[in-house]
Amino acid sequence: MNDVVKLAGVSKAFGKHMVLNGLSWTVERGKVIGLVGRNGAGKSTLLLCALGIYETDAGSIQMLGDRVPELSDATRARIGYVPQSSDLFGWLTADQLLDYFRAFYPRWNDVKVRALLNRWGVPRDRVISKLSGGEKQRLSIIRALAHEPELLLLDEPVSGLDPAGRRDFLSELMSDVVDRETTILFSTHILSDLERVAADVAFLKDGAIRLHGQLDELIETCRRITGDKHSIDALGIQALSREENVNGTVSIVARLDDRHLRSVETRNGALRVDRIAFEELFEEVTR
Amino acid sequence: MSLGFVRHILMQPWHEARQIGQAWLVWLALLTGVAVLGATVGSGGRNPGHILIFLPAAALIFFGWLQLVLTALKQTTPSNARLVPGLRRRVTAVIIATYIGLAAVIGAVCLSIFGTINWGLASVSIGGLVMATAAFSVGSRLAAWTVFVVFIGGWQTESGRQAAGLFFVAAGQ
Repeated sequence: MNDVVKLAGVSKAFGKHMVLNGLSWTVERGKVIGLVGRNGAGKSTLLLCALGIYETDAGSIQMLGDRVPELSDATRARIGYVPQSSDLFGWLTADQLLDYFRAFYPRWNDVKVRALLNRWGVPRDRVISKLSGGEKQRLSIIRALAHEPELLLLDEPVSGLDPAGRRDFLSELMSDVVDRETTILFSTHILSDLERVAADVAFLKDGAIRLHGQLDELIETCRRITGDKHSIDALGIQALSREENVNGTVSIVARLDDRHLRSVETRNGALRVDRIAFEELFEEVTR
Repeated sequence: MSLGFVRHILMQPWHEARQIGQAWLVWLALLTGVAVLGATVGSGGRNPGHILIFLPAAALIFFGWLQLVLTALKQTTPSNARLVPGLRRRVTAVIIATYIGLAAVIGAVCLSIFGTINWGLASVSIGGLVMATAAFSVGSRLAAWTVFVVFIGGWQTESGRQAAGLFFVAAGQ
């Protein structure tokens, strides 16, 4: 079974505000996926629903073959999670906290834990409530990696880290993927980090995944096409975004396969075709 | 997997109290409660004044147990409860097991002193405990201090013991 996370028709609303709207999506084993979206798009809600921490209003979710929320203990031991805001026990030291959680997991990599504590400079004997935000974040990540999960979900894991901390963290993640084929799904709004790890990217918009693909491939295949309305419509392309310009022309951003790319190129006189950067793609898809 | 989690769960009130500089309070509550119950049984348990000792001692022990419950609640955050294998189930089991254990100890002492388990006194104990816990949980240390001061003072003399007991009975009602 290659699908590690499988969501089918998942909906979640808070009052009248629909956050996830019939979302269907699969995450394959060994992928590193950056989940991006505007503030309030529902990234955290999606992760929390996937983990069974939030109940869904409709749809079904499977994680590592188990139905959510009825995960077996064995499956839970294969999942790691870093929440957006630290939920560490403020009254313990880092050593005590890690010792506490070690008792619940059948597998625990002490060597890795010690190495990360040292390398990331997390004080081991200071009470957690007195650690800085970045130190708590690092400790949260160490805790989530310590039992060597097959599936790691991280909610804005680098938001509290400085650039050096982010680089270390991403390098650790990637070595985990290479060494153990860990599947990693993390929400972020720092697009440069995604470019650095060459991850897959999933864009969340209007309660659904609007676009998902390998970052380099998306950059390679997505174009902004500008022309008169008739020419644009004649392409028959499903646009990711569409905008009418002040001069009466229309611009669309679309993901083009080879056939469409050739078709656009043959009409190059009537259409202007531009490559777009990742940040522009983010703005267009999530607008 | 070892049973290390039991030790860890039981140690949380101690760690938390130590972090706020009140570890001695937890120790004092537990040790005093156990010592007094032991002394009461050791002295034959036939003195009517022992009733007045029994109540706050039992309350102190349950006060320690309630700290265990409070830290257990903090450990079972939604993500921990959902994702850490067996955490919620094991924390619940430890809470129930310690409750049954402590209740059995107190019940045995009650039986030794009174020749029967006095459900009326047990109810009064619970009433006082609920009041103390309610005050504690809204941030007032007064309830905890009152139990200690009244009890320790009361332990010195027979009349003090009676006063301490009466105070606690009154508080419970």
